[in-house]
Amino acid sequence: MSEELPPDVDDPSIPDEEFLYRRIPLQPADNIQPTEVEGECRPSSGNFRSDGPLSVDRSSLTTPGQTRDRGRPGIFHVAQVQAKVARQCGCRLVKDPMLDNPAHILMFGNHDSGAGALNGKQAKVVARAARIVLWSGPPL
Amino acid sequence: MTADAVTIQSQPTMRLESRQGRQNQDYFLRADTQGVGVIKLPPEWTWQVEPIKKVLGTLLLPENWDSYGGRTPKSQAAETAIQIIASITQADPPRPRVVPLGTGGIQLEWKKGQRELEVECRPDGSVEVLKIEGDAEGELCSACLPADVVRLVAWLMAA
Repeated sequence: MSEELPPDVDDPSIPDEEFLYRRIPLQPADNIQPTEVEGECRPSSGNFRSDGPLSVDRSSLTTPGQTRDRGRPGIFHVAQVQAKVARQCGCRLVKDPMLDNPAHILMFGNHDSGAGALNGKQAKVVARAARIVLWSGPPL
Repeated sequence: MTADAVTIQSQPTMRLESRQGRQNQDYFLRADTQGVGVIKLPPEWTWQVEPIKKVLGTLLLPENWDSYGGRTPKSQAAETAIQIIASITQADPPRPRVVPLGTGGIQLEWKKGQRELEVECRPDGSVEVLKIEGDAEGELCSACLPADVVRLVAWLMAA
């Protein structure tokens, strides 16, 4: 995340259909959970809780593999969720390109702290809709 | 499983002990310079052992464990999480998922049928609960007490 945050104003040039990627640590294993579809997993909402706005990457400017590999040294799955899901629960999406990651976006939420973090409801909505698209652990 | 002591080889820097001579269940975490890594648990604990081990395990995560600047969970959060788990007296409740938060908190998650509970143990030890039924958005309860969570677990189990 940049040192100085961009204004908390949704950028409509990020299309609703765009997927947003986020790294999900393999450990602890409870970070992910199976969905009702066999072989499919989603991240826990805890992966979308932070002190400030949430860092994600735009799928139009990166790949799941690139998102995962920015997380070194560590081992990560990658989850994706559509931009419209975040917006439907009141989040704002703001471009925040970085030197080493032009795809970087900040997702601002409505946490009571006012710091731009997602609140519990928003994190849950996003997590329910998210899916692991790059699996880095042993086969399920 | 009944256990009065559990050795966790991968967790050599912490110890959880029950304080003797108190009426209420009371536990604390402390650094262990000897690297003993023994957790003494009341013999009545059975299913609680595994989730409590998971809670303690989160304290060993390094700073930036999630690669997004996530903070290592705080001991106050762990103490609250353990207090909640220990307060659930049902014999065979659904096991909670234990998820570290980038805020330095720890989240306990339960699901049974269409009902879900997400219990955020904050870094300062305070608690916020998200209660969900079906596809609804859910109901947030800030400043919950561990006793409130126990009641909510009973609600969950009635599903």
